[in-house]
Amino acid sequence: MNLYQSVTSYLQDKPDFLSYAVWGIVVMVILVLLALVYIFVFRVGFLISSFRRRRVEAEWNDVFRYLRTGEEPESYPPISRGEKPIFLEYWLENRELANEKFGVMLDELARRTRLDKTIVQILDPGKFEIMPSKIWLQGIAIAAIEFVDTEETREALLEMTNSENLFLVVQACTVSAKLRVKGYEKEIIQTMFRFPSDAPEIFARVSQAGGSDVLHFLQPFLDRMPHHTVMNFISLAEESHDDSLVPILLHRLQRTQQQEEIAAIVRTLGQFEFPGLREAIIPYLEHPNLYVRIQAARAMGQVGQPDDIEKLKPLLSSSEWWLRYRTAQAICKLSKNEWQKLEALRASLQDEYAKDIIQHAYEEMDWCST
Amino acid sequence: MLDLNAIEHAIIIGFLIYVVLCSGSYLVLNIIAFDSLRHYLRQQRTHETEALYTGLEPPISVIVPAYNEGTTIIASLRSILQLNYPNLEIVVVNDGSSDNTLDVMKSYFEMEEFPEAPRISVPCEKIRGVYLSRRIDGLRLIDKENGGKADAINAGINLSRSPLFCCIDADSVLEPSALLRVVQPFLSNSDVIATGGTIRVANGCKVKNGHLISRGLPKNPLALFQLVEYLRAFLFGRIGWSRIRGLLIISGAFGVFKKQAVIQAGGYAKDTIGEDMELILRMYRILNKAGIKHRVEFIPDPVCWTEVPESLKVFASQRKRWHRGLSESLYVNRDLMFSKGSGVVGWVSYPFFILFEWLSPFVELAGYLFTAYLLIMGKVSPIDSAIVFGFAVMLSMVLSVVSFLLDEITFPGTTRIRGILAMLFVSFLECFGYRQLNMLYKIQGAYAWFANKKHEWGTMTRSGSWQN
Repeated sequence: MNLYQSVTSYLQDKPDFLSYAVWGIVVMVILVLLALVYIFVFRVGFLISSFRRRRVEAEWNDVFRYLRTGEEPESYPPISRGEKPIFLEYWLENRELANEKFGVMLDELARRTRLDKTIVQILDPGKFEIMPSKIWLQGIAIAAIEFVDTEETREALLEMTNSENLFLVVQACTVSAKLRVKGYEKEIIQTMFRFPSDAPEIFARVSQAGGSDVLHFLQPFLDRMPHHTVMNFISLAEESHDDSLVPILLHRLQRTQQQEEIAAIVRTLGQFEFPGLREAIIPYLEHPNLYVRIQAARAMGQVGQPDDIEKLKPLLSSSEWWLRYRTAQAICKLSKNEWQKLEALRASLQDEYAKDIIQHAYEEMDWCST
Repeated sequence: MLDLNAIEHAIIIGFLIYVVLCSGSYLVLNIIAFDSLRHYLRQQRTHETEALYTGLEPPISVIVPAYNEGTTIIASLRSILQLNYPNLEIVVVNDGSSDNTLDVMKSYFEMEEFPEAPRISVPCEKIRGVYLSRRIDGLRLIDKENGGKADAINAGINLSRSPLFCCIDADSVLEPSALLRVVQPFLSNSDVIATGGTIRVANGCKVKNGHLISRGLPKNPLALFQLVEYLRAFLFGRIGWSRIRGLLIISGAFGVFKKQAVIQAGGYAKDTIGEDMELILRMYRILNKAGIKHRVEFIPDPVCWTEVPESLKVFASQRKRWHRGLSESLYVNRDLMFSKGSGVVGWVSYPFFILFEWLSPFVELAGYLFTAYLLIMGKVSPIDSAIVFGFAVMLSMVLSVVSFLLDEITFPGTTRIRGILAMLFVSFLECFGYRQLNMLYKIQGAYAWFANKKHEWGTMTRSGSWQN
C-alpha cells in the first residue's frame, strides 16, 4: 500500500477538518518547495553571471589599465559571443567614469570590438537571447548608445521607446533626449501619455538628461501634469539656472494650490535675478504653511532690499526654529552682515528668541566669511 | 443536561474558525505586501531619489536617547554621521546615565556647554545642560535627569529645531540613504505624520566606523529565531498594513515623525511601556477627533540594523514588555475602535490586533490545554493531534518562506543560500519551544498589565561584538 492509500484509509472515519488539515499540509509543503526552487534558480542565474563577469574582468583589466594611461596594449583578448554582453557592461562602467583621454581610447575599443552590433543585437530580442535577465541587459545596451552613437544604434533606440517595459522606455527616452535624436520630443510626449501613472518619473529622468530644452517643450503640458511631475519640473528648473523659465514658474505659482509646490517655486525663484520677483515673493511671508514661509524668508535674503527687513522682523519670533533661522539669515544678508545695523535691530527686539537667533545667524555668517 | 461531546465539538469548531480567520488575514496581508512591494520597486527603478529632491528635503532632527550607552554611543553616532541627508541635526539625549556616556560624548566630540532656552512643548524631566560639539556641525547633547526613554525623546523634541524628527536607538546602525528614502512620503503627501522603515537583526553582522561591512547570520540560536521573526514582521506585516492605510506601529528603533503632530498628541507617554505604538495610536485618535487628515507610511528598503537579545533573561523581559505595551496601548486608546472616521485603522487594524495579536497567546495556550485534555480522555489519537500541529507548523513555515522571497526581491543576492536554508530550518524549529516560550512571556506581560504590576526594565546586555 502506498503513502497516499494509507493516508486516505486513515482519514476515512475521521472528521472532515482532519482531512482538510492533511491536504493543507501537502499544499503548503509544495508551496515551500516551489518558493525554494524559485530562490535557488534566481540565485544560480546570479552566480553564473557573477562568474562570467569575473572572468571578463580578469582578462580585460590589463587592457583597460593600458588604455587609461593612453597606451595601446600589445594584444586584445578574444571575446566570445556569450561574453559580449558582460564585456559591454564592463566597458560601459569604465566609459561612464572615464576622463576625456581614456574616453577616446574606450570609444576606439568599442569600434574595434563592434559594440554597436552587439547593442543592436541585444535590443533585437529575436536575434540575441543569452541572459535570463534580458531587460537588465537591454537597459545596459540602451545606456551604452550614449557613447556608441551610430545611425543603427539611434534607430534601435527609437524603436525601444515603443517597448512595453516601462524601465526600457524611460531609459530609451532619456538617452534620446541626451543625444537629441531626431523626433525625440514626440516620443517622450507619447510615452508620458502611454504611461500616465508613471509620467512623473519619466518626466524627471528625461528632463534631467535633456536639461532646459526638455522643460521648454513640456511647458504647455505643465498645468495638466500631476503634482509630482510639477515638483520635478521645479527642481530641474532650479538646477538649470535658466532665466527664461522664471515666467513659467511665476505663472504656475499663481495657479497652484499645492503648498509643497508653492514652497518649491518660491525657493527656486530666490535663485534668479529677474524683475518683479521681490514683489511676487513678499506675500508668501504671511502664508499659512510653515514651509512656504521658510522658503519665502530664505528667498527674500536673495531678492529683497534693506527696506524689507521690517517685513521680516515678525517672523523672528516664530515658534519654529527653522523659520526664525532662515529669517535671521535673510536679515543678515540684507544688512550686508554689518554688526552695527544688526545690533540696533537686535536692541529693538523684545523677544529673547528673536535676539538669540539674530546673534546666531550673524556669528555663523561672520565665521563663514573669515 | 449539557452534552459534553457537543461542547467539545463547538470548541473545536471555534478554534478552527479562529485559525482560518487568522491565517486567512495573514495570507491577505501577504498578497497585499507582494503587490505593494512590486509597485514600490517598479517606482524605485525609474525614480532617482537623491537627484530629484536635492535641497528640498525638510530639515530633520535625529533624536538619540541614550541611557548607559557608554560602550556603543560613539559607534552609533558615527553611523548616524554617515547618513546621506542635507539639513540634518543630531540631538543626543543623555537620560541621566550612571555610566560614562556623558564623559565619552564630551571628550570624543569636544562638546561645550551652550546655554539655550528650551521651548517646553511636551513634558520632560529637568534639563541639566545643553552641549554643542566643536567638532561636528549640528551635533548637540542634552543632559537631563533620568526619566526613561519616552521622557528622553520628549526632551529631544523640546530642543530639536526641525519640523520633522527621527528616533533612533543608540545601539542601531542605519544605511546611509535610509533617511532620504524614509522622508519621501512627507514630500509627496502633506497628510503624512509618521513613516518607518525596515529593521533588521544586526547580530552576526560586522560594523566598522558606523558602516555595515558584512552581513551574516547570528551564531546564537535565540537571535536566529528572532531574525526570522523580524523578517516576517517587517517584510510582509508592515508593508501590507501600510498599503491599506492601517499601520499601527512605527518601531521605536527607527521612525520619522512630524513634530507638530506629536506635540498635538502630547508627546511620548511616560507611563506606558510600548511608547512607540501608544504614540501612533494616540496620534490617530486625537487627529481623527480633531478632523485633521493624517496617514502613517512604511517604506520597505530603508534599513536600520539593531541588536536583539541573546540571553533568555533579556529576551523574556523584552517580550513581556512588548505584550504589556500592546495591552496598554490598545486599552488606553480603545475609543479609536469603530470610531467614526477612523477608517481602516479603527475598523480593521485595531480589531485585528486585539483578536490576532493580543488574544493569540491565550488562544494558543487554550489550544494546547484542550488538545492535552482530548488526548488524556482518549478522544483524539496522538496522530490526529500531530496532524493539526503539523498544519500550524507548515502555516508558519509558509509565512516565513514568503518573507524570505520578499527579502530576495527587495535585496537580491544578499543572503547566502546556506543562510536561507538555515533560516528555513529555524522557522521549522521555532514551533518546538521558541513559539511556546514566546506565548508564555506574552501571557505574563498581559497579566502584569492586568494586575498593574510595576515594570522593571531590566538591562539589555549589548554584546557589541558587531560594532568596532
